Amino acid sequence: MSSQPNPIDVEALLAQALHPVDPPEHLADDLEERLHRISVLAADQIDSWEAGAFHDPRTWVKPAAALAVGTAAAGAAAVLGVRHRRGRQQNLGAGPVVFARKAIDTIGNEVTRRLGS
Amino acid sequence: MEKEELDRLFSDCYRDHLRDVYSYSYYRVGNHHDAEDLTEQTFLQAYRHFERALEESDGRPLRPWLIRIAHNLAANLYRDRSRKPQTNIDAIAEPGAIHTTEQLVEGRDELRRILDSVQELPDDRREALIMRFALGMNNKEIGRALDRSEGATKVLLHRAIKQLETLVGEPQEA
Repeated sequence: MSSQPNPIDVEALLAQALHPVDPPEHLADDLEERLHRISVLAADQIDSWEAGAFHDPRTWVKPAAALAVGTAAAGAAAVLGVRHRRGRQQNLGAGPVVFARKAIDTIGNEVTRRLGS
Repeated sequence: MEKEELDRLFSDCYRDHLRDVYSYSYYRVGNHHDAEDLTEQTFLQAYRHFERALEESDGRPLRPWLIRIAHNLAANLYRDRSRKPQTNIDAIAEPGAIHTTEQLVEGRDELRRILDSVQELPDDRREALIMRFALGMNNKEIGRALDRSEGATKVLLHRAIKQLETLVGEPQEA
């Protein structure tokens, strides 16, 4: 008689343990809304860029980043069918603001790095 | 390609792969909040580079490309925060993963053991397992997502399974 223990079927266990996770139902709506808000925030960033700074290329990075992010976000939001609901509150929650700034900073850093190299 | 057609394809891509990107993000970062952020950033990046990706994919599925974006963004997230996921993967494994009460009772310990062991694997092996078992990706797709050949991916998965068998087979500490 063999005293070897039954081998564990690791793959079967993995199939049970690592199952697909459904996104929350609100995620699609949130994404559309956030993309729209990013485009608004990016537009504000560009608006706040002082015209006098145009001659200094070092000041171009943030507006350029905002333009890149804002354009993409606006386009994606439009594609995904974002619709402004009448009377919706316009205040930005902390999450979307942080997210948008992070996106702009990321692109800005990338541009800065490339300009510096 | 016409903008209208491009937008339609992106919309289809989003609808078809939202669950995949979210699942990957969830297992990667370990909590809903960060998974939502990661999913959103992934689709924003995807939109920016969608036309080029379509051209370069030459008709191949775009899922590996999306997962690769999420993979890179997650790596940046951890580099920025200088930390690993806040929640261990075992916190993700809800009983819903098992289909019957009997299985729930019999399999709970084994599942916990396997998930603990998955956490001990090197990053690339763990990610390959997530892609295979949570997303159902084949070797070719996983290879594209991880920038490896199909053969190298097969070896990676084989080694991950073997290492897991060893880890699960080891006697547990009291």
